[in-house]
Amino acid sequence: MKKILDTIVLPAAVSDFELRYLERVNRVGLYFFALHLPAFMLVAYFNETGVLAALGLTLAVLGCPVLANYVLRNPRAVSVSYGFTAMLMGGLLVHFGQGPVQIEMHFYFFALLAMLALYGNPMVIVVAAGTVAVHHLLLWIYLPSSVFNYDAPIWVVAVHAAFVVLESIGTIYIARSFFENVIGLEKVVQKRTAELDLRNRDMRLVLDNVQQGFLTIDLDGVMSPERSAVIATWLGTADPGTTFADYLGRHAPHTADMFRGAWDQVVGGVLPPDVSLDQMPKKASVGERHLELEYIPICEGDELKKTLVVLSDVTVEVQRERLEAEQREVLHMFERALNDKSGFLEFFEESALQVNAIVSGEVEDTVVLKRIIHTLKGNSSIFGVTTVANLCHRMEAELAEEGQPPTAAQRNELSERWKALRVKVDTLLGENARRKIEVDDAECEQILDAISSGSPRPVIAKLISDWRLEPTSRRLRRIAEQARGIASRLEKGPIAVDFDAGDLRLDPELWTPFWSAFVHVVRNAIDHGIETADERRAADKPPEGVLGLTTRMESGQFVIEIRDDGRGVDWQAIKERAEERGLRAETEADLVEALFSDGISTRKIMSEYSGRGIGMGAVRAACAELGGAVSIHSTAGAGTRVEFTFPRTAMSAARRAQLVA
Amino acid sequence: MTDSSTAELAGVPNVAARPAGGTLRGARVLGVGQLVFAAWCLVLLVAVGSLMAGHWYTLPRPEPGDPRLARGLNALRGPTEGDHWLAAHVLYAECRCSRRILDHLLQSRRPEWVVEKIVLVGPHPEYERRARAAGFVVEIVGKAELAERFGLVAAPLLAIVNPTGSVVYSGGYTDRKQGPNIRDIELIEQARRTGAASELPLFGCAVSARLQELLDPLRLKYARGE
Repeated sequence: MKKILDTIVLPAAVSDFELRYLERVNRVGLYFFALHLPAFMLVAYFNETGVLAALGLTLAVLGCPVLANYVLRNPRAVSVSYGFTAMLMGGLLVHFGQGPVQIEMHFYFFALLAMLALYGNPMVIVVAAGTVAVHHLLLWIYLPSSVFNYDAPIWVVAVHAAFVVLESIGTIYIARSFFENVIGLEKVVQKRTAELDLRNRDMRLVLDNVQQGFLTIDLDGVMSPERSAVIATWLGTADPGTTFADYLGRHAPHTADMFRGAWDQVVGGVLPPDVSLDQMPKKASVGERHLELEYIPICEGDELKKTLVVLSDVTVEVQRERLEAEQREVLHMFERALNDKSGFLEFFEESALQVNAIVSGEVEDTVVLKRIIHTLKGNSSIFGVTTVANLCHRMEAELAEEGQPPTAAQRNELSERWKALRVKVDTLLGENARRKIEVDDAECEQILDAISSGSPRPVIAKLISDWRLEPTSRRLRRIAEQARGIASRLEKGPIAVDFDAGDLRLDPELWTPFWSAFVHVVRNAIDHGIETADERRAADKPPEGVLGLTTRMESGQFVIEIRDDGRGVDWQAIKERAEERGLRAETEADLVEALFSDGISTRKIMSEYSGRGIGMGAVRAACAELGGAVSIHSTAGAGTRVEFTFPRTAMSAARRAQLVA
Repeated sequence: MTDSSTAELAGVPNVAARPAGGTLRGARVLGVGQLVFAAWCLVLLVAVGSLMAGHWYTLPRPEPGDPRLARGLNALRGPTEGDHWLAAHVLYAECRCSRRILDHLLQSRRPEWVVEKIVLVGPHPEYERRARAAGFVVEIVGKAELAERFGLVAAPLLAIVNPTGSVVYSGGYTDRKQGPNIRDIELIEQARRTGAASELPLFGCAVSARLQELLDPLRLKYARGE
């Protein structure tokens, strides 16, 4: 019974489509019934059953659908009234159609019952059939013989009713099918859509709950509206039609620029999609967050249609790697400090001054700033403070390429990093380590011998005073060790470093800036001068390069010499660079001057160690600070010798000199 | 389906799916209108039903042995027609069914061995003229006289009386209402051959006022004084 009721009674919800359909069909139905008026009058006229009666009665029946359209707000109810009207019209037709075909006029009922299926509402059929049934029932109650007329047996009446019932059942089925499959098509589509939405929601739940963001971009670089929710968390919301480059550019402009450049190549189609996509930027920093970008081509055949961009938050990994790197850096730093504590402390104190100069932002002279950054970078690299070296490298690059001094963020980063290093250094080496004087066994023996042998007090005082001075042998040994490390990292193979320090000492406080800059000359000698083992073999040289370091007194002057047996200065390259920069490059003196100018380098590619043409200028400036001069002697294929000459008085402070005197 | 595209009907057929007036007055007018509509439907159901009653109802006819019918019919015989078969066609001037029978009588070849009389509930001068012109003897009677003399209240009715004066058939002309096969001659032949004729229901018009009132209480069919 419930199934029958469910079939007959439609669901309460009326879709827009059904509403529009019923309004249209109801309107057509009203016109259809209105046309009954002239038709019935004609029937009445030809059958002489009363034209006026036909007019009056048909108008009366027409009042039913007209009233329904005005007073029933549900179009389904209006349709139901049409089922009722149809049966009444049938009654009128039979009446006005009295004549030889009066029986045939009854076909109207069956025809209309079938036509009512167009309303797609079984209730319309039920009401129509019910109208006929009630009609017969009322008549049966009123005049029993009117239903069982001409003395027809009950089975005849049953057959009569059976046809109506059969047609009604069939028509109800058709109406319901019509409702479900045609009128209800919109609902079917909506149901399917809802199912798809559900699946999409499930998929979105998955996508939104993984720490990866997915989005697709078309060939114009425009992002699809459907993307993982986490992307909005990372990069903010985006208006429809926004390109990925613009979206990314809000937080990572540099990466966005790289993206734009590489994307042009991708859509250019010169290379296969997977190859060109491999050139796209793979990392982006958004505030404190680090994102990794992966690009997956979506192709039809070989043609790229879209690209799936997978963004992964690798902040934790990056932080872990950074911490590990910092840890490694600290370990490396202390390894160096253990090997050469005073050298390391000297580096640290000298570098602290350079850091302060950079962080304060007070150095307005770009050339000086470049030298400071370059020197800090070089020394940090040598002492294994790679975080500082890398940061200096970035600042140096922006300064060279864009002329922009370090940004506040970069200065802050350098400051914070240096503070952290200082805490480590102070913790492990002691805060006052720098102020201590280290005396080795030989020096200790020397002073003991002097006292034991009754040496004069001034001699003893000098010996003690010399403890404050640094033997150049110690410095050269340190530089030699650094040189070997640089050669190893530059894959120049093992090199031999010869040094001859003499018995000379220097005031470390006075000379620290020079030695700090001197490392540029060492790096240049190895990086630019000494060839690789293969190159040396090809040039009939021993595969092991040789670097020589000497400090000596010559003609009353203090001389520092560094020489290598490398390829020599490429004067032609210097000449070309000088001319490019508008410097004089005609005489040998011009070329030497150019060599020490900022920005002149024989290298076209910068490295961690050299290539910007700043080091030589820096070391000459440091030399000049001590009143010295620098000369360079180079023979192509044989090597280069750089000689720094200082006045004797530059070796130590005046007070100590007086004491010595 | 979005909320905006759906009208929830709560299962009641006349709940609004289209925008209503929105005011209380509008709602009341609508309610009154719906009541009028329901009443109108009921009236129409009864009215159209009453029309059907007149069509479906098998009209009453007297039994062949009814003495009043036999007496009335035998009174129609002329002085020389006493030993002949008599066929009386009772027609009603205001009844289309009766006119159809009259047309049939005038157009068909009538058997010569039977005396046929037309009892016309009239008057209807044209019918009378046409029937007389065709050789029929026509007797005009009123509605009340028809009932008094013959005991008849409906027409058209065929009555067959044998030479002995007994009514052997009284009934309709066709098997079904407005049936095209008018079987009067067949029935007369059958009666002469077998002494009786198959009974056919009487379809047509109520003649007596009482029967008319019964079949057409709203006076839709007989409003014109049929």
